Amino acid sequence: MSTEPRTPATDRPALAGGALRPAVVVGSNRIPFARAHTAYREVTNQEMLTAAIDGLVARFGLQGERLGQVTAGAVLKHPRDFNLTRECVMGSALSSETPAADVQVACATGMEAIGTLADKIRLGRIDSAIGGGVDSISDSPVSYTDGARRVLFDLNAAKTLKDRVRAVSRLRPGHLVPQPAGAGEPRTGMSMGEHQALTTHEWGITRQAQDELAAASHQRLAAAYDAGVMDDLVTPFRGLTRDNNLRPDSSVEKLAKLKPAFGRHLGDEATMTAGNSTPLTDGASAVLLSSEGWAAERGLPVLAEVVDVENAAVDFVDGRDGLLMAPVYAVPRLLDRHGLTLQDLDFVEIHEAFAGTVLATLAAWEDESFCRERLGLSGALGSVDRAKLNVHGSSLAAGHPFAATGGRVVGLLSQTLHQAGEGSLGLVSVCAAGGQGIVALLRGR
Amino acid sequence: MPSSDPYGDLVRSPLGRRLTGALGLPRPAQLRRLEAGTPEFAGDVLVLGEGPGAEQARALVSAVGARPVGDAPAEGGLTGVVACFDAVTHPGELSATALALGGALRSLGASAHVVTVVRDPEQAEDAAEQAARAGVIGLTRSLAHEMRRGGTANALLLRDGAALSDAGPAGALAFLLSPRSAFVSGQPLPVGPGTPAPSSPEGESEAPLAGRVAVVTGAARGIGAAILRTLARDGATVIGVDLPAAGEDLMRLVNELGGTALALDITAPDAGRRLLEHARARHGRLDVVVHNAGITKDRMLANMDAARWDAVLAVNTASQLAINEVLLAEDARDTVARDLRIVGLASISGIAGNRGQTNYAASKAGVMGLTAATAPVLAARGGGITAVAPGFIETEMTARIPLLTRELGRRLSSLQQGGRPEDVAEAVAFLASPGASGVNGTTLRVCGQAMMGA
Amino acid sequence: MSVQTRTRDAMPALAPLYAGAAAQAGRDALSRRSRPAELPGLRLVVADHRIDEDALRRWREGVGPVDPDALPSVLVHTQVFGAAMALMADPEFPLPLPGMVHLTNTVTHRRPVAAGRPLTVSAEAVGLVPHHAGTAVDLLVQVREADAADDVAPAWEGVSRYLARGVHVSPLRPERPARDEWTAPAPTAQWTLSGGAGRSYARVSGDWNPIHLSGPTAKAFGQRGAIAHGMLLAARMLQSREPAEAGFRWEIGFEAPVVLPARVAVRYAEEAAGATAVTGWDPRRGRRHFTGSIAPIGG
Repeated sequence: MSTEPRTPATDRPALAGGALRPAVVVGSNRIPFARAHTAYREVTNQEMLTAAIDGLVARFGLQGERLGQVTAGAVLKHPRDFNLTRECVMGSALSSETPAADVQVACATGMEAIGTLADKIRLGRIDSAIGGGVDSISDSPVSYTDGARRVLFDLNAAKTLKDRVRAVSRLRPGHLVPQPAGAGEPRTGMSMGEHQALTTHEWGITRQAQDELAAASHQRLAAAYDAGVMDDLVTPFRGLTRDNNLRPDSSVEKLAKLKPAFGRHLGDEATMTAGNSTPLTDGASAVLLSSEGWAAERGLPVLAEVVDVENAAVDFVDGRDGLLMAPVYAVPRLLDRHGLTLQDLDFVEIHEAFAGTVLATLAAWEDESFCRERLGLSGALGSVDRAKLNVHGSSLAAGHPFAATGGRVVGLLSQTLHQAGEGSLGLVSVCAAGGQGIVALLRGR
Repeated sequence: MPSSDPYGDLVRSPLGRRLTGALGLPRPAQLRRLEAGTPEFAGDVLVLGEGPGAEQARALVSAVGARPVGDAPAEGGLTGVVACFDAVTHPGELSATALALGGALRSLGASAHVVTVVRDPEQAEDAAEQAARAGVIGLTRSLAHEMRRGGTANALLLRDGAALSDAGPAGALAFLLSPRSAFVSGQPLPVGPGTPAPSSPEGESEAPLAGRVAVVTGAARGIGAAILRTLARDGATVIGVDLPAAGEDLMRLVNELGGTALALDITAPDAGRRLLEHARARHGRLDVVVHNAGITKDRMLANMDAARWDAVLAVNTASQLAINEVLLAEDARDTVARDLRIVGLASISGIAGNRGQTNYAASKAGVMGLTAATAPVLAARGGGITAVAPGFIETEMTARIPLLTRELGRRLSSLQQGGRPEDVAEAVAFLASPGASGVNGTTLRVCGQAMMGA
Repeated sequence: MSVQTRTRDAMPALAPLYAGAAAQAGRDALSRRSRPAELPGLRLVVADHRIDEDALRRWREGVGPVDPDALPSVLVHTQVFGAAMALMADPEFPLPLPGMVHLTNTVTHRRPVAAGRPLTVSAEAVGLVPHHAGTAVDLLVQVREADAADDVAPAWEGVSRYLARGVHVSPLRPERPARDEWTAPAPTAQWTLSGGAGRSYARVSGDWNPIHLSGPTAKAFGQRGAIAHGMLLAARMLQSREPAEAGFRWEIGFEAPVVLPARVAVRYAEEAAGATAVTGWDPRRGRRHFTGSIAPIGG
């Protein structure tokens, strides 16, 4: 009897004693993002995510293909969508034998999906995967109040007419006020915008700087569309061919006319407007990940390698840190693991939840005492060259359907890195509700 | 499929038949087209004429699965006639076969296909021979006008010493006898000997494009979508190309058919390179290119502006030239098949001209020009380049034509109706297939023998 | 002053106490009866008192989430304060209950109090405090496990200070303290209190004081509208912040009342030794509603 393993160790997955292998981005697809209650008003999360997956299938000829796993999620999700991603897979052109999973890490949902799938590929558990996310404000669930819920449950359980009448008689007008899914932080009761207004103010970020960042975002994304940069990243959906939040003619002068929308308690010092904050948005994205071998067998391109992903969270509840500042902590940890500095990066994608978020993040990395005391560094992490930052615009222009943003950014950056050439380095930073953040390091192929 | 031709539907109803009969209005027949699940060839095909052509025709008719007969059956029901004039050297020799053909017409079933076989007059030895051969074309064109119940008549012109039994003519004959050519009528089709297709043991006629990779531009909608469907049905792995803005329709179609979608503006400077890269990376080869993408920007020439003119020429003609150049270049050999077949979409506007379409007609005549000019390059490598000139086709685009003009466009043809996108697609699929190896440099009209430019 | 102990076998309910006290006040006004100037020297003890699971369920529904098994500090207060109220509602209590204003609360919560377990609750008025606007009284309520010895420090111990406006039992009249200049800091939280918050809190606490229930009932008692119960603010202040093993001390002092519905801006600021200072204010008018603190015992 032979004790030789059937597969030589070098060919075996890392889980079975072989070496870790790279997880690569083959390509991505998203639908154009739409401001809430506009183009996708009548569209469900399931329809949007299915369209994003199907666009990816069409782009890479994956009809009937059984992938290792599809992982996606939505921040605002109907109870009926408990198996959202699996339902989307079954409705897509992929093989119905493709397993699926839902995840949720607020605005970083897509990043979490992509990060964990990349790890599974590295370990050899799967060869191919789609990671992504979807969100719809237009299709967000509205719940009953607890009071109305109890009445309805009792009504359902009532056996006699008398019981039913008694149950219904407990219904009060206030019970029927619908409870929309909140955008507020449960522990502070403050909206994300109000939280960011505090952070923006604390870091002394000016209105001018925020408006400049917002205008640049619009101008850069518009230029990217015009140059065909988005051709391999976006598939039109329901009559929309571009993100409808995009204003190519945006300018600092126009943005300067808007009134503050957040941090009104700051009076004259309020700087955050609807123009330098992302609007509520509907949309979906999907990223195709695989091992190098899987891509090579199918003649598929390899755009970039997912080198590493880092999650972080901050204690924002009593204002020790800003709600959206977790990436400030995650990035130095991620870079340190690979012996890199900010200056080694060729492209930096910082999700523009608010212009203030990006600028406060940059300011924190440039602040020596903050970096020493809070990040435990020996000095300031350093500056990000603005020419490398969000080169094709970001969420201020495209919009931000919470769970879909990770896929949008990873897809875009992978293509950018591929065009920049083998070995180019890119960073993705996505902040999230609950004081969380996920950042990723990608290397161009 | 919802009908876009209410008049056609009306006349095919019992009441409508009486009404239109009484009023002497045209009565377009329901054309028999190739449908899944029904045999492509069936029934009796009458073979007329003397000489080698007739003998070979009988064998070919048998080979495709129909029954060759020598006499018109009294009960009728003929599905086709092959009238062989391939040996004529003088106009005086036409009468016997011509009159026999005439005698058989009453025995034709619905949507029957008449094919006359003659040697190409352009390659005649002397005046009498050329007159005889040209006469057959004239006879065929007139017969096409006389055909009833959706029947067609076309002339197969043997070129370069081809025998009817050679691969090229055999493939063309099969197409012209098939319901695939339902909307092709009154056309002479010059065919050379061609090259036998690499033998595939099973189902060659079922899947003539099996194992081949075909790209179609403008594939998201209308005729392009029908072409993509038909090529996929014929076994090709398809690459659908369309503008980024058409991506959603293209995605659905490609996912239904299998294959890949490529968002591409074909007028972009790197369009050919991107197309080649896509085929190389995703499929490793490219056998068929269908230049279908096209636009109209109609204006009387007096009112024409540069933007309208240039856009139409850029999309409809220049893009084909540029992409062909990339695909035919030496460094594309690793991907592009030697026997590459290119099919460009022309238009009868490019033949007959059309009011308000100077730019469009220029672009489409240009396609025919480039097709003829590029033919030797492809002939040298065993491939072919052809064009298809559709007549009035029922599409979203023609549905926007004003009602009366649209009605005129439909009825001013021997078949008295508009064609369907599938009719164009069938012609393209034939020209893209190994069966069309004898056809090169030619533009085939798919117009129901429209009066325009005939 | 000797303290007499009187034992009750059930926790007095609040509503009858309010009603009785209101009736007494009416009779007093007619008879011009004067109340004693000194505290009665009485300790009211309720033995074998249990806070049932139902109270916890109502709390979860009406106030907010609760860590498993632990009774929130303010919930304990609501379930034991009837003993103190019984003292205040007594006709011989020096201050009349109707119209009394809640000034401060200080609670030392040493050990977790479990639902369903027998407790011994004692209540006592421990001091009359002269105030510029009248006289305040401190009510001490102590909660011990029924099997705990008397010399064991109470698991829960709270002092509530109430003010009877215009009643001066001592000639001493402190000066009105100078208003400190206060400007609103940056908030770290925002509370949204609905118009029905007073009624939901009443259902939870059993404290059906009309000034909390609705606009009209509150206006009848001289308020601008229904005002949030002070202990509801305390409950929100402590939400998700009580250590699982107790061992903490908190206090709250009330200023401008919160007229419902309301948005309250709140700042939690960490001070030395794990202590957190809390301030709540009206973000539009810039008026302070309360200040408070949460700190570990000994911290």
